[in-house]
Amino acid sequence: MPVPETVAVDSIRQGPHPGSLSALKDTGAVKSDHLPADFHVEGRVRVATLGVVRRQPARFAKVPPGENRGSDQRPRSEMTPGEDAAVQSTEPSTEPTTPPPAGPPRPAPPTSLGALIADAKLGCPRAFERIYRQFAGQVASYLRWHRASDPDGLTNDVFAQVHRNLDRFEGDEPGFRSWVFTIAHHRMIDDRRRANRQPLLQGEMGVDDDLGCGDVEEDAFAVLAHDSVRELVSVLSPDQRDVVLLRVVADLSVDEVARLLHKRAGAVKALQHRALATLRRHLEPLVAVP
Amino acid sequence: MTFALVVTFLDLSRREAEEILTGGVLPGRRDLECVLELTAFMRASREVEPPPPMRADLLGLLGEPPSPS
Repeated sequence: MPVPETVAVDSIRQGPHPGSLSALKDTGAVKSDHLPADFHVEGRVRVATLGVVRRQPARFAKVPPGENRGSDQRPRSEMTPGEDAAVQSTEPSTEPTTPPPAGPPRPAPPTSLGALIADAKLGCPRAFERIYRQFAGQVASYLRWHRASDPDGLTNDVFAQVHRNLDRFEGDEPGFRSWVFTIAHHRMIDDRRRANRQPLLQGEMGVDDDLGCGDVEEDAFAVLAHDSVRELVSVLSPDQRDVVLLRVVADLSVDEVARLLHKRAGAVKALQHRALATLRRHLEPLVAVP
Repeated sequence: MTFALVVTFLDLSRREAEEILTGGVLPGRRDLECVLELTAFMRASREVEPPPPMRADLLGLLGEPPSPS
């Protein structure tokens, strides 16, 4: 669906009055789930403006519910019936809504991860493919940050194991993410052990051959730039690197990382604290160069 | 541990470390910008990484139901 240049926004509300925000998300104009609960936006808003709502929430007026009517602050008793109806439509309705007339049920594709997992467990290949599309890039990125020898191949191995063991998985959506990255982490450790037994020839290490986008020179620079940034985490100890990558790239919580690494939550917090202090010590001289 | 190292550690609280790792903002901490940029890059690299193509063996697995537990 093409993203419109401007969107008529009568009201964006979250919390007690959701609806408009999800409608905007359907247009592709809003991608953030992180609008503060009591923010309102009114009028026609450029999509570009909505795009930065997560970074700069202060652009929008913070007003109590039902009071923001843009520049028109007249009491509703002074408005024409049409204007009054328009204002009323932007305010939260207290009347019960009439359900749409019942028609023949339409089969809707499952969209939640839980539904996809349930379908994949029943052997639905399309559900598994959608799970793959949702997670495989992130898993490949995690393995790449760990400088795995073949991140794409390992990602396939991870999902082959996910498929084999899916029937044994029981848990919620965050639990599934944690489970997938646990498999990825163990695969990465196996890969590291294999690599230690079979040292790569000089020049093979760390070259990503799939970052290409056409231009050979640009691709080479992109590979070098990504590679040099990934090299920065090599100053960390293996434990610190595991914790930082699991927290940031795998997006796991302290408790999930603690379970995965068989450590206490306090130990994980200490490791991440020391890791960031180490990174800062190493990065500051690099950025301080005039 | 040297005195300088202790000072460096104390200058970054555990709460700040958690903020950095979860993508929070630390106003007034210009000294941490470099670390914030690195973690932001990590996060962005995760989001832009395309799923690798499925290998034939994985596609073959999809034709079979998952193994019974």
